[in-house]
Amino acid sequence: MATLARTFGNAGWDEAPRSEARKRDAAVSETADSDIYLLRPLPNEGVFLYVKRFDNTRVVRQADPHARRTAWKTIGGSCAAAALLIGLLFPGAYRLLAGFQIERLKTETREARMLLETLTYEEAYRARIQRVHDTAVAKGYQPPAAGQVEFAQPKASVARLEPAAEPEK
Amino acid sequence: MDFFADVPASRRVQWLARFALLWAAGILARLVYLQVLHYQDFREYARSQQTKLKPIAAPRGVIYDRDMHPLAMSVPVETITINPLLIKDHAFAAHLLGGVLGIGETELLEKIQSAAAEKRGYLIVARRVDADRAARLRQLNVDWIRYEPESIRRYPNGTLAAHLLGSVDHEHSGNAGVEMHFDDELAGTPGEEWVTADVRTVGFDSSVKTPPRPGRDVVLSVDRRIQFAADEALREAVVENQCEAGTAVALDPRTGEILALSVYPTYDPNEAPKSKGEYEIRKNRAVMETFEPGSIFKTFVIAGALERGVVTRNDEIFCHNGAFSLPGRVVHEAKNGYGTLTVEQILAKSSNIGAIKIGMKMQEKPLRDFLLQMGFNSPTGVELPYEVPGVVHPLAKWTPGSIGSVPMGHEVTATSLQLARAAAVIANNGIMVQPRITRAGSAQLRPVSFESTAPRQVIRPETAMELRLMLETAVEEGTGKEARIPGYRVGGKTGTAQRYDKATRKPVHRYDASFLGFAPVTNPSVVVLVTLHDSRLYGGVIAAPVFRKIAQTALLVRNVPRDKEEPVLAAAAPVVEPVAEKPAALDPPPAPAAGETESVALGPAVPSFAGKTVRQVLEEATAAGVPVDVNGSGLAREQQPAAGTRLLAGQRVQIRFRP
Repeated sequence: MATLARTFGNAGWDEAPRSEARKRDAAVSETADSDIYLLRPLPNEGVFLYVKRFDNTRVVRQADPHARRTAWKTIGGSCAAAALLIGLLFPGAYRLLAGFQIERLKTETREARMLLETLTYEEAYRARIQRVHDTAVAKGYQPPAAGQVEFAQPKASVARLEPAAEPEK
Repeated sequence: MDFFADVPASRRVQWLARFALLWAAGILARLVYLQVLHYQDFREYARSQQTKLKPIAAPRGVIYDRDMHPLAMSVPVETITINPLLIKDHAFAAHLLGGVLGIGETELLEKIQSAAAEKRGYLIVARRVDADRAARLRQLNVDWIRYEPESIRRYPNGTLAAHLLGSVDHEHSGNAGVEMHFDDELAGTPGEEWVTADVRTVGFDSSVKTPPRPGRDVVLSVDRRIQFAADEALREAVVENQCEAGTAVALDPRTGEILALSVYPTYDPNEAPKSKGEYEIRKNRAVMETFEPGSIFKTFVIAGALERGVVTRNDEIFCHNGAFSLPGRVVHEAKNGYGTLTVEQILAKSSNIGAIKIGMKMQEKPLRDFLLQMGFNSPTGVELPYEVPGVVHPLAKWTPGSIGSVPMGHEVTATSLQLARAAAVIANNGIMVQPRITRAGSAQLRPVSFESTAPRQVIRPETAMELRLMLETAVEEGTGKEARIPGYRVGGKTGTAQRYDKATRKPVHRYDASFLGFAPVTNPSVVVLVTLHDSRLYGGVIAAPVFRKIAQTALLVRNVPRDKEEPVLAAAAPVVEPVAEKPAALDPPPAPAAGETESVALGPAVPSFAGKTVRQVLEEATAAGVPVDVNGSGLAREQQPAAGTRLLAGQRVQIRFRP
């Protein structure tokens, strides 16, 4: 099957171990073929696993005198790149957001103006002269007759047009 | 099966590289196609999707009266359209829209289904929907409804000054009255702007392509209170006297400003005419129709005779005891025959024969020249459309009997406005001012198209003063007694022109009854002409009362000082009614002075507030329209005036509360 592993696995770097395993398998099968009473070997019987343990606890990485500088350079470079990117993109993004806001405010202004016009009409309609007249009639308000004098507080003691008494001589 | 098993790895890498190269080449080719070959096409396509050209509304200007009360204004409305292709459930959409807009659901459903079947993405559902309903639709927040802003012309006072204001057609252009004359100024020019929107059609950028030019406001010289009084008085007179129509014009003689211009029958400019007959009603008779003025024309004939020195105020003229022979006919007085009358009496008693003899003394050419000088036979130049000039025939067309007709106001025709202008000359010390409908002095708001002619001296001030006194006599002692206004000296002249049957061309017993007057005589502030067409009664009987109502309102509204002594009327004395067992503690009512005239009590009747709480009293008083003053707390113990008394204008009920 042409898997990716097989495609690249056969590129040659694991060819030696594979050939040794094939040789061992061949030796086992030769022994088995010579004596028919012997038990047949299990597949991969001749493969032995060996784990070698390493103790790295005492290994210490050698101090790199340039590591800190490299790290700061990386950080600085990243920040500069980020700032540059933001600096390049920010005006456009800001303009876009501001544009949305300006258009929204324009729409609001238009709607507010429409509302004002509607309310102005409503006010004019409610204060129409016919309505004012009808209300005045209903309330009994009448314009004063010619020569009629009205007092805000019609108290008898003051609601009189009496000539001032002449001082006694 | 294992295709690559025997292929060397280097070859496979080469294949992969070739494939990647081909892939990149394909992308590059596509980019060249999009960005180079069809760059403009796609750019335009994108722009058409993202950028829309939207109109910027330019509302029509407002028409105000002289106190800046709006008489005509544009109200924003919206036209509701839908995209049927975006609607998933047509029946639900029809139910939704029908409920809010008050449209028949079945009919709407058929329209939606029809539009969807025809793949139409635009359907007008309702035009000129008010802001309230549009807002209710917006709350639904559905993407298939669109709102197109429009405006509608509204006249908040309804029929008030309808003939003066005119109206607009379905395209919002003025088709009559002020709306038509000032159409260029009132109508704004809408602008356009490019709006760039995102995928949700939310705009984020815009640029004005054409700036809008809003309509200019117009301030009229009309006072809505005087106009209302004129409309009401005229309507009552026309209906009560079963006249065909009526016109009334009130103007300020010093400035020429028209304070009121009323025509009856009237109409509501908020509604479009429904029949051809309504177009006739919408005609402004005051400037578009002429009539034979009748006896009010004697004023100008006598003015000419006085001005030219043909007669003086006290010259005596024999009036032939009521029958005067002219070539081809005999002229009679309207009522009684008169012997010898002074010129003043001729005007006061409206003697036909006296006027004819004055006209004959003056002679035809000077008479005609004077009439032309007074503005007859030429339009006034008021800012109203279709004004007609009236007719004063050229001398070549005068017959031998014309000198017997013209002084009586026959064989000449004039508009109501022309007659009012001529009367204003007398009221304004002989100076003729052009009538105008826009307010003088409002230069900032005055439309630029107004051009007025300079005032000119038509008759001498002495002549004008003398005529004013003679016209006052006509009101006080003559035919115009019904025009008297308490507190003011009034001058005026009645007129009754017999009408002719157009079919038979013979006179019928129907009249154009008029009254032309001004007040106060000392310094006239208002000139009023009232004409009732096709009436059965004389001008002094039916037109003079209309004049009185209009002039009285105008004098009151304009706060004109009185120029005539009248007995001072004091407010009716308040009566104290003790509503509790305790006697009245308020000031006792004064006894009415001897000879003191009682004021007219027309206010609401005062209810009894005895024993009620403050809250109950206030509720009851509000319901009854009775103004009250509350003193103390607890229960109402005293009130004045007493229960059942009718309140005077401005009077309040004093109520004293105690625990």
